Amino acid sequence: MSTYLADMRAMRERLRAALRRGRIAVLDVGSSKTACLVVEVDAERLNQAAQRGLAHEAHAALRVVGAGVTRSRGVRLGEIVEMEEAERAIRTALERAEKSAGARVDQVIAAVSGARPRSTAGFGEVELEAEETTGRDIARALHAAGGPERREGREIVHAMPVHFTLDGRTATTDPRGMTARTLSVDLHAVTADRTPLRNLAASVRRCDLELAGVVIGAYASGLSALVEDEQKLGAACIDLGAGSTDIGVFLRGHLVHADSARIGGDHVTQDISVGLSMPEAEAERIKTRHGGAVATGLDERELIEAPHLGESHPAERRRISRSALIGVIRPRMEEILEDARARLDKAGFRQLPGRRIVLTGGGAQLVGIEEVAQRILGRQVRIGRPMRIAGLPQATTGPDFSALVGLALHAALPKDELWDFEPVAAFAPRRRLAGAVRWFRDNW
Amino acid sequence: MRALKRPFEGRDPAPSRLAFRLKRLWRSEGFRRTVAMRAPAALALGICVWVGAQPELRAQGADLWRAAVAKIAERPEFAIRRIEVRGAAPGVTREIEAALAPWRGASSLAADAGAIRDATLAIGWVERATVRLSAPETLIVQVRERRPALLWRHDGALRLIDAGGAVLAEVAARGEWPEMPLVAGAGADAAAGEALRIFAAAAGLGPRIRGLVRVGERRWDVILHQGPTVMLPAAGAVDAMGYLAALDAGEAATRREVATIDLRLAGRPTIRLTPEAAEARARAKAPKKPGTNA
Repeated sequence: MSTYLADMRAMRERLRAALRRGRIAVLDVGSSKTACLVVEVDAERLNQAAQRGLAHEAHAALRVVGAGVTRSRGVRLGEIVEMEEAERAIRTALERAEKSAGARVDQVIAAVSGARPRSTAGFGEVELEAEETTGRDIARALHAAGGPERREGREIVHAMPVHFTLDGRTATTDPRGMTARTLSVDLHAVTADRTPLRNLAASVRRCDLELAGVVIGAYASGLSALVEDEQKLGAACIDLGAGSTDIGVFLRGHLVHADSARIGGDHVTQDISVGLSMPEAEAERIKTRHGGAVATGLDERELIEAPHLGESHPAERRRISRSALIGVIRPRMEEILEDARARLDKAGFRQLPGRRIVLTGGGAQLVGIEEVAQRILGRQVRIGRPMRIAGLPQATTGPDFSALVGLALHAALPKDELWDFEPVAAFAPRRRLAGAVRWFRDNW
Repeated sequence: MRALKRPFEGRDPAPSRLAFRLKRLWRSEGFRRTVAMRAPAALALGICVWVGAQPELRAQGADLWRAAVAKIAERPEFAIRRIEVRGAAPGVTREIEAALAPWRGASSLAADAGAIRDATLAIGWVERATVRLSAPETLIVQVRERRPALLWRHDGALRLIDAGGAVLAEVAARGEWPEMPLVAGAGADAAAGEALRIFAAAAGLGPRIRGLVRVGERRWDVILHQGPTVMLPAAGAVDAMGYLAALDAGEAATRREVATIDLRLAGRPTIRLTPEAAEARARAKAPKKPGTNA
């Protein structure tokens, strides 16, 4: 328990150091593309914003100075399967981003998609040590919540206090300094498979980078694709990725549920390739260029070039109607969305006050997806594009860059997590000297 | 959804690990500063130290440096073309201009203001001088003249001195400065201030005062025209002179047949009669008949 807390604290320390230095990179290793942003942070402005707790001011302190996107390699279903290849892709993206930024970055925040995330909730209650609530009380309550499950092969990615109660009354997001007798806290923890996390960390390290944080893809996408009010009133963000469909549910500004389905746009491409017997690259191409989710009468007459496997001469290329293509795409998209709906239902999304659903990710660019999604998920569906932050290149403003931009937003204003509060046993006898040093550092 | 381009064939877009590391190294600020600034600075410093350690190289370098400086200084743009003397009478101005002739046409960069000032101050008339350069080619010498106060006769020469005793110029004849009071004797210049105060106190005696003579570099004698020599004390000479003036006004002391009036002892003025007067006095004091002397 304590070693992973120490690891998490070390990552946070790196993040803080990077913010002080004013430059950090964010990295999204997806199944289809590996993208990297170099972000410059105005530390002074960020401090002011953090003190006043204004998210949009914190986001205004960000400035994208470099971006690099490259085709992913060695990634399947959101997980790294070939370290060497993935490392090359990261190198390419980082090199491009650094080149356009003209500066070097050493700390990077990475998103993990896939990796079978699971949400668990915990509840802890403690009597306060003094009248006023302190960080130590919160830490004790969080530990009383039992912490997240620690099963073999799983690792904790997030452990966020989502709700504080003081003497049975709902408190603000930060109860520090409030007077009460008992403090209870709801903890939302997200765990993920250890192997993909370790592989991601290893490939980042092999690129001479320091990992300053790992964020679940669903959370990152939601941060940038949902507007602030949606996050407060309750909304779900469905990131239709190439290898995985990430689902994040937000309420009162917190991530309350994260899930991921191991199905995505790559399966659509595969269907086209198999169903129409085409090379996969061609299938991907016609999916992006001519694909759609809803067929109309006009699509019957619109013919598109769809070469058979093995056909190479342009003169003998087969042509199919666009509705045939849609006929292949649509069932798979419906399957993906129905799977997402099942997952949301299981999580109890229907009980939330606001039931907005925001589609983002590369799949959200499919023509007509909104209509299909509305039929399956309900009326309140929209396509979410990432929040605009200063300096973001035009090429990275599409829905497929939601997670990447969300990482940058997270970097500017990371939510307090379990490891951000004081450890309970700060003054263990063995660490007395360290404790004294810490006391001086904190108080002087 | 991914790019519409066909998947690449041929060259891998990923930089090799070595290239990647080198590029990142070059982008790191510390390294870049080292290459761009620290290393050249260290190299330059090293060369300087190495050259400095070799005497002949250093001498050569110093020669080159001097030659370069001289070459620049000798350019006509830096020459002093005009010397402007302010605050001096025309005669003195001419004298100063003559003294500063060596600097006319010299480089203003090489000119030493101190030397110019010293040359100006070497002229007796100049009490104070400031030298400054007015771009592009004018040298302005602002001077203050000394005011002549006394004529000093000493060692067979007649000199004009001011109240501080500084010599302004030699004078050929007394007639050139008929109004100027005269002092004489060794050390008279050093006591010029006191002499002037004595002359002021002796205003009542008017033009009868021929002058003052410094005696033993200690005290003054007053020489009167057709009158006695007055010996003033070393201390309180001015008061003594005032006393004499009063004595003269009341008793016409200096117009009697007296050879010297000795005021050296305060409160005890002593006079010595001229021989004739002494004889006359003796005769007057003698008994009317010889033998009846008391």
